[in-house]
Amino acid sequence: MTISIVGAAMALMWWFTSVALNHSFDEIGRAIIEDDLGEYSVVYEQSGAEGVASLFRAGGHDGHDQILKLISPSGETILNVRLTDQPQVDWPDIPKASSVNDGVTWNRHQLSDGTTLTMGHRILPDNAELWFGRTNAKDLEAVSEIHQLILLAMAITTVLSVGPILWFAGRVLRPVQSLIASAKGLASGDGLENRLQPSASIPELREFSEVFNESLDRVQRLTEELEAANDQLAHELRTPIARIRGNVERILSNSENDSAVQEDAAKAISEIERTTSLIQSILTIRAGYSGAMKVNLESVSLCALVADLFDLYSASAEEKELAFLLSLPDEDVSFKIDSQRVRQALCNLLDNALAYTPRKGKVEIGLTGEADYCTLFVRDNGPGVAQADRDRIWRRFMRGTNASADVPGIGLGLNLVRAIATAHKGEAGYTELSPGSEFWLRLPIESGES
Amino acid sequence: MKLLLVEDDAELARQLNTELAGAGYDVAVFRDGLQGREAALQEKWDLAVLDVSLPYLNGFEIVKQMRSEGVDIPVIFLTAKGDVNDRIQGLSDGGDDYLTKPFSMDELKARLLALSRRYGGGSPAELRLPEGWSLDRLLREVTVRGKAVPLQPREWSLLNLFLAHHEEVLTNTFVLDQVWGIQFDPGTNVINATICRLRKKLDDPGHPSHIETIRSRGYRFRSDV
Repeated sequence: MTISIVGAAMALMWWFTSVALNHSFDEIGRAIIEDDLGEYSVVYEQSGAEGVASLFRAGGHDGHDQILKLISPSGETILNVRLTDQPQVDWPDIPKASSVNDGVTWNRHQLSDGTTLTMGHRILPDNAELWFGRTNAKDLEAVSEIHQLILLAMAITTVLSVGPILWFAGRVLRPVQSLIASAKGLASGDGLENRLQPSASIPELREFSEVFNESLDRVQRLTEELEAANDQLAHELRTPIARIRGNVERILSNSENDSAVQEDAAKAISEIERTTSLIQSILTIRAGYSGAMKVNLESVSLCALVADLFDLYSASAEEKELAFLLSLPDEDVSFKIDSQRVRQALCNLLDNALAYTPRKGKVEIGLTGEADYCTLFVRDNGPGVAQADRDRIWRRFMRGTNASADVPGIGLGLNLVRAIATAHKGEAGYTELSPGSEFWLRLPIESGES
Repeated sequence: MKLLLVEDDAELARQLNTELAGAGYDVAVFRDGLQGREAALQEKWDLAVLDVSLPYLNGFEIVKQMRSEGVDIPVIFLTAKGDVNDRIQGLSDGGDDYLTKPFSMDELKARLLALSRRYGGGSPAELRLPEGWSLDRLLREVTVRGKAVPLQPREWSLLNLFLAHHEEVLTNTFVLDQVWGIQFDPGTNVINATICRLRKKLDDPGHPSHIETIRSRGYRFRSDV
């Protein structure tokens, strides 16, 4: 932007100086011709045509860029020096009467080499006629030299003016841009622990960042307090729920003859189980993200682990008439992982795949191993995840818009998967298949605790 | 069997006392960590059920001291924390099993029984097989009414679990832990499906099944149906 403005200004300047220079040299050229005509007429009066001829020759211009013609009062041409390299250029035919006393009649001729021949015509006191012409070849040389100097000056000016602009962009705009970038990162919600990076060079920006970061500290502190309170609440809820469960179980076993009471008690127990698993998920997820999840690492055959899960879900897949496939590498892969957690993560993915893949669809669980990481995946040919949901589904309490009311869930499953991946220093993600979905868990060979 | 119960929540302590006494245990209840430790070290017990969060002294500390004093009885922790980290710590401090509140009483009883058998010499419990059944442990085969029935590994493990816990209610979580080694609810019907296969292979058509489904509680194996 700034560069193009500077460029336009330079071009304008160039055009303006060219016009001005050409105009000035034109004026100067005419003045020279007028002077020379005057000089030759004085010499003619003193020493006749001979004197004019020798003065012209002494100038050393004859035929190159100056021409001369002298016609006697009787109309006879006494001198006629034409351009040596363009002899075809002839004097114009000007009626004698048209040049008034002491006046100069002008004539111009565009030459084939691009120069212009300007000719002046004057009537001498004895009624002889004097023609003097001059090309602007020398003027053009001078203009081109001036142009070169201007170009040099412009180049220097450009460097001197763009330099500060670049400096400004670097020292002032870049810190502002990085401030905007980090503020955007904060706004998008990833990592409340991130802070604006203040620029050391601009005190105002530094102060702004500090104030902003202080308010972020406050927000983070409040969030942490709230989360700690949630954890505490989750813990505290377990004991009363345990009391309720104990009593409901008692009702269930003491009501063998009353099916209505049994029905109610059974419903109550399944609600208690749902609530319990919700509390458990919240606590596990919190532990995973806060780094408090200790992974219990043991060397595990991943092929065996995946095959076990395949076995675990075969019955459910069969019930839904799904094509359930197992895909394992030729060689077994052994990694140090927390097998309970990883199994839990994969079970969540399988649960989702089985829930969302239509009857008679296809679900595949598998594993690919690389030198320093492995990828555990669950694929299906179900409806996939809408573009707009691909980030949302990983967040807590967020379900995709394809989530159906028939599928129970409160939107913690994938968040738990990601928390488990994070605790293993790995990643969890989604890849669109056409058609269908792939959810994967990538674990580094050096998982968990460092 | 003498059972030491240390639980500070009055209502839970009452429920546990009633249930465990009903299951034939001789239960003594203590309500804080210090009393619990005193009792654990001074008297002789066959089993201990300890809450983790207790006034004065937590359950982990009690077990540590019991083990260092050479008290070698099965110990199950009850906890409201339920984090896998706690589970690992509880087990490494000398506990044998770990139940997260809220838990099912059936689950606690099944685990207590499994533990006391393990401590009782490590030999499998005396199996009460239905009439006309015999087991071949080497071939992993069961012979039912004169016919050899081959079982898949999981079916075999599940059948053995049922036989070891004859007449007891086994919860889903207990079965998943013992047969599949999974300590969370994967939300599949794998247990139900495996039980269906076992029923098809073992039951006498026209008779009630040996494996009974008990709504909201789990499954129970009966040899005489």
